[in-house]
Amino acid sequence: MPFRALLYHCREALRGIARNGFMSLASVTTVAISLLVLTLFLLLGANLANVFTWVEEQVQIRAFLADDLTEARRELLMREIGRQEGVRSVTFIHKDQALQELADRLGTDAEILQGVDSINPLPHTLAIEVEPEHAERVAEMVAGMEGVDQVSEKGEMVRRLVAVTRVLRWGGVALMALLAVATVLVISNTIRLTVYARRQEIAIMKLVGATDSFIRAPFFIEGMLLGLAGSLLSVGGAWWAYGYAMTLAADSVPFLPMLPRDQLFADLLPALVAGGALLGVLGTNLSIKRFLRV
Amino acid sequence: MIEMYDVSVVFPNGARGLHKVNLRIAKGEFVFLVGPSGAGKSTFIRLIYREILPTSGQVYVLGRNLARLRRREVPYLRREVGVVFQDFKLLNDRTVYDNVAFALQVTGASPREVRKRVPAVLEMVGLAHKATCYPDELAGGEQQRVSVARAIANNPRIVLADEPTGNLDPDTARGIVELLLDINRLGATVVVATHALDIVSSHRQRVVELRDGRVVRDVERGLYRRAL
Repeated sequence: MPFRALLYHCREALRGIARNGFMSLASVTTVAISLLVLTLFLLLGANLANVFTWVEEQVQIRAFLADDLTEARRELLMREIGRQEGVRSVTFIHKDQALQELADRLGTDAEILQGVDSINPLPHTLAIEVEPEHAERVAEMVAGMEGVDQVSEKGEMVRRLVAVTRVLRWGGVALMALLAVATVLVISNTIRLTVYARRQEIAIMKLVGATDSFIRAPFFIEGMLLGLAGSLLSVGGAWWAYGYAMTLAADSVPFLPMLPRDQLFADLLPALVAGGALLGVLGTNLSIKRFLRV
Repeated sequence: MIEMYDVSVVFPNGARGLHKVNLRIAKGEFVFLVGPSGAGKSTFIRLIYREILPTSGQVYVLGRNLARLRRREVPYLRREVGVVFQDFKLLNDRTVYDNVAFALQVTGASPREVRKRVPAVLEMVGLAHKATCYPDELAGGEQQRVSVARAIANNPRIVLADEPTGNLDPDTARGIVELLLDINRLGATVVVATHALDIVSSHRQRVVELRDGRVVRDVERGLYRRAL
């Protein structure tokens, strides 16, 4: 397309947007809201995946040992566990060390442990780092070993997280699909209004021999601009919302790692902007097919 | 230039537009298409710029069989066929100049061509001095001249006029027909559908009379009505 034709189409597109001021605003808002919800879902998804990886790294089986277990038997036990598939490491934690760790974790509340020092109630413990998919089996195996009193396994939490993430993902996909359809319909309606407002011009264009693609071009640009404007608004909204969420998280769940905002948005921005433009083009296409008949 | 062989048009509602019309219009001819309302004059005109297709029969325009013309080729046919209507079909939010320039711009003419061509055609229709006016500031005859200017802006080989004088008083109407005759003298083939009998009779051009969709008369240098 020659440059001057492009210029012409852009001018016509802007004219169309200005002419249907209110509907244009409605379309941009709808696109913005739809994409905002979509973006928030993406952000949530990305962070859940991140937390999931983090939790995965935390998968640890703790085996509490019987008090009367000898050092030699313990060495044997550790070697036996270390041979299991999926086990990354086996570390012995002395009961004194366990108490110290507990005190550290309690921080200022550690005073409740006063007096416990002399009669440490904690058992000796084996910390077993294990790949999540083997966690359950290893835990069962360890529990059945002689000299092991009790086993605590955090794999269950991971599995639940995976399930929750899956539900969220499919719910998100369904919601996004619905919102995308709504957006396309609203944009299509806006374009239809422009087509209607310009029907006289279009009739004359056809009469004097303008090609179909020439007649259509401004409408596609108009739809695309509506989509673009909406997507930029939504990115702005999501940027703000994510910042707010980060502040909240820093206060209430500081141990949860959140993805840095700049990096995350740098990754998402192109896709969102392209998505907005695509919705605009789809909406235009729908209305051109139905109402322009060129 | 324009050839019709056994052309019939039946509209979806069952109304008959044309019935077995056979006609040839040669390059450079000027033809008055006459007949009462509903005789098929508009249908005839609309066939030529391929607004509609014949139900049966063949229409050839500029050597092209219109039934075989692909959709994307239609615009290029229309650039060779200028059309003028009774209701002018001007854009009221644009000046006279822009109305004419529009026809060139939307067919991809360069700004240079537009700057050269628009004043030339406005000059030809006698409206150079009204270039910056808006259509509703002009008299009916002037508006029709703008519409003629737009029709010839692309330098078409055929000019069609469907009741171009229907909304105009007799003197103004005469001026428009004179203008169409000028355009014909410059080389375009011109077909004018009209029922302005005095104009037709005074110019003694080829007259094709339609009645109920049939050609009932086709004479060189004719009058509106057969001499009694």
